[in-house]
Amino acid sequence: MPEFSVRADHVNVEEVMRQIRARVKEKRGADYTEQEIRELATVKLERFLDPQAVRSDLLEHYRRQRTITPLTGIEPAPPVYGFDAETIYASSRGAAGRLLRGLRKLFNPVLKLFFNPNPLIHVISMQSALNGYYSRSIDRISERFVQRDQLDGLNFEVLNNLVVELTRIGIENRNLKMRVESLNTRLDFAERRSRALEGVVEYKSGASPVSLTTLEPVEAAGEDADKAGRRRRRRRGRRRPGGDDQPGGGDEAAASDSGSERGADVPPVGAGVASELEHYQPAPSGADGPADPAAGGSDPSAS
Amino acid sequence: MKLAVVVQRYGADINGGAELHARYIADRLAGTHDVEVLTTCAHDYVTWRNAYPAGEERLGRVVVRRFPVARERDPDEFGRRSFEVFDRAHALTDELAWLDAEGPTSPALISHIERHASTYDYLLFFSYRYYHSYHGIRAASDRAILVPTAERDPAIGLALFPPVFRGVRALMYNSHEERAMIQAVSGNAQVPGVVVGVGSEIPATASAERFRKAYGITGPYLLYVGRIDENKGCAELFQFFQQYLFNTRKPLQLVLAGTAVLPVPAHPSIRHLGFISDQDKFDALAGSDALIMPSFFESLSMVAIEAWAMGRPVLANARCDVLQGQCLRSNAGLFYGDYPEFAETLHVLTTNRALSQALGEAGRAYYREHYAWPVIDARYNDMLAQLQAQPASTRTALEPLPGWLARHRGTVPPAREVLAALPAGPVVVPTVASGTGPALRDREPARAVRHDPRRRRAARLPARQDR
Repeated sequence: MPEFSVRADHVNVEEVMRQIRARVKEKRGADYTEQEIRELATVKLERFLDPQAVRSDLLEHYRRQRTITPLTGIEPAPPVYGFDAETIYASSRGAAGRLLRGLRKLFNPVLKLFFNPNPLIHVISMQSALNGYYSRSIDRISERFVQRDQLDGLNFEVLNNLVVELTRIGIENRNLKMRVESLNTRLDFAERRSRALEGVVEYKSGASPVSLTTLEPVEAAGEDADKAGRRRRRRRGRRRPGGDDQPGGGDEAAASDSGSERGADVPPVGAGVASELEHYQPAPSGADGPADPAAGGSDPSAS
Repeated sequence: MKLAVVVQRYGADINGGAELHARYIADRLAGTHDVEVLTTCAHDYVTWRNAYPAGEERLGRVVVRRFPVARERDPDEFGRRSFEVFDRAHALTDELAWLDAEGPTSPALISHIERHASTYDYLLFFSYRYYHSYHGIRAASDRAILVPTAERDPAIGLALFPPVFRGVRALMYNSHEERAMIQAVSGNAQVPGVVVGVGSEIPATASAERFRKAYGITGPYLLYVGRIDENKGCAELFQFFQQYLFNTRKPLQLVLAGTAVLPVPAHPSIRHLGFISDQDKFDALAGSDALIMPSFFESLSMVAIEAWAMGRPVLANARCDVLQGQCLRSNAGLFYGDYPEFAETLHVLTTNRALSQALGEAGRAYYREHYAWPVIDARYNDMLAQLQAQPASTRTALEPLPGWLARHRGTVPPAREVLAALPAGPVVVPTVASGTGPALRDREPARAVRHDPRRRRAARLPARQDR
């Protein structure tokens, strides 16, 4: 993280704060508050449900749902009036009513001289039956509507939450991408640096060899070094793909290249690096054993 | 000259901001003038209960006259009336009732001012929002100098006060932000006014070691001095600081000096020392990495000025316009608006020694230039001389209260609405050296706009360009 350059006689707080805010912004990617994330999510939701974009009127539907009067809130229907063939003659006046009903029946033929009440009675009876049927149907439908309203509210809530979370994850994803890019850059830099350092390693007479991976001194001469050399060569033989896999091939190669040099004198560090780089071949993908972390830095083509 | 300092409470053991300010100014002015303090018998600012005996006493070079408070404050009634005038359309009589409920209601003090105003050359009223200032200024407006100590709270939006701001002889502001706010609310640009603030007695020697030994504090620490209260932003400070420690694992401590109204978290890196002496305070400042001021509303932070005098940087809450403005003008402090900024500024202050030192040095220079006592004395004396040269008859008289019907008409807008419409943001003065130069206000949107994300986004682009 770069530090501020400050002259002892002058400091500009405005400039320092600008740099601090830039760093904060860089670290968290974007300067969004919780409220802003929610607003972004709302915007995304509307875009997502834009009828022109996805040919859906879902958003309008949800909006209507929010303003619609629930069916449970409307005025209840009046009770259904029962009607049958006797209703037009009936009276509710007790004994006098019964007398009245008898008289009406008696004078019914006279009434029929003027018009025929039977079709009227039939139609009104039918209407009464239909009213009962519609009323029961509306009750059932309104019950379904109430359930649907509740479900729509839940759906909208779920959808909204999904979009909010999606927005949040999107922002987080972008931040993580930025971090990965930043780490990649650092890794590239570290690799270039390590290669450059390897390039500048010089032979120093009397210096002991140093392990490239651990930077610790390696045993100068004798059996240990030979064993180590054999081990390395054997490993190399295993890694070699295809052609050179005849038994003992690795050892023969070892005898021919540097065995005598090792026995004779302490190998110079630079020479060791060179021999390693010379004989190194990258392991094929899927080769046995873990890849040597230093191998990437010792790629002959790169050096 | 014979001067009177009129303040709501007065005493050596009273450490409230405005009261301490008044005491310091009275003491300093007493060096060159005949100064009397007119105050109440109250000690507690919540109830205004009479604690001191009424009458006259001498404290140092100053004669103090105390007058009894007629009725204590009823918090319920005050809360109710505050809601009425801050959040609803109301009448002027409601505001007068609010003022009575707020107190300290001391008719004896006002009566004394009415009878004896002519015996003083000038009366310096501290804190515009209290009963004594409003009624006292009405009783002696031709000799009144107001030290408003105004913060950005809804009281500034009440309709009672603009006539007072316009009707006094002069105003001694604490900060450029305060002046801009009062001028915006009252249109009193024609009234003589100067940004003064207050100085502080800085000891010749301050020893960080003494403080560390006395309180057993080792390692770097951040210092907070003041009442530990939610209104002072301490709850947010605790949250941010603990989160910072959790994230960074730094061996940094937060040392708190002051009375705790809010429970202090039991954290090994948070130390609460309680009330400490002035010498300990300066010793603590000397040893601190920085002083932190988490308060949202301040008229003037005396402890920030003291930190600057000691060459220590300040980390302030950016939501306080005054503190942010002071940091920008002094180039001696950083500020934060949220946790990421808090963490970053704190990291910079505690790791970048060069920057921290440069901020401290800038603070020292700022103190010397603006808040050393000779500077403050000179500004008060200059103002008194200016007023003497300018006859009282040339000034605009204090507007009388409107008639009965107008006072009872419920058309006064809620004070919060008035406050939200006032311009906000720090005032940037072009050069630190020219304290009397023109103050250029940042074109920040009003606070209502800043707090509304939708409107803020719309306003963001021009605001950033201005910076």
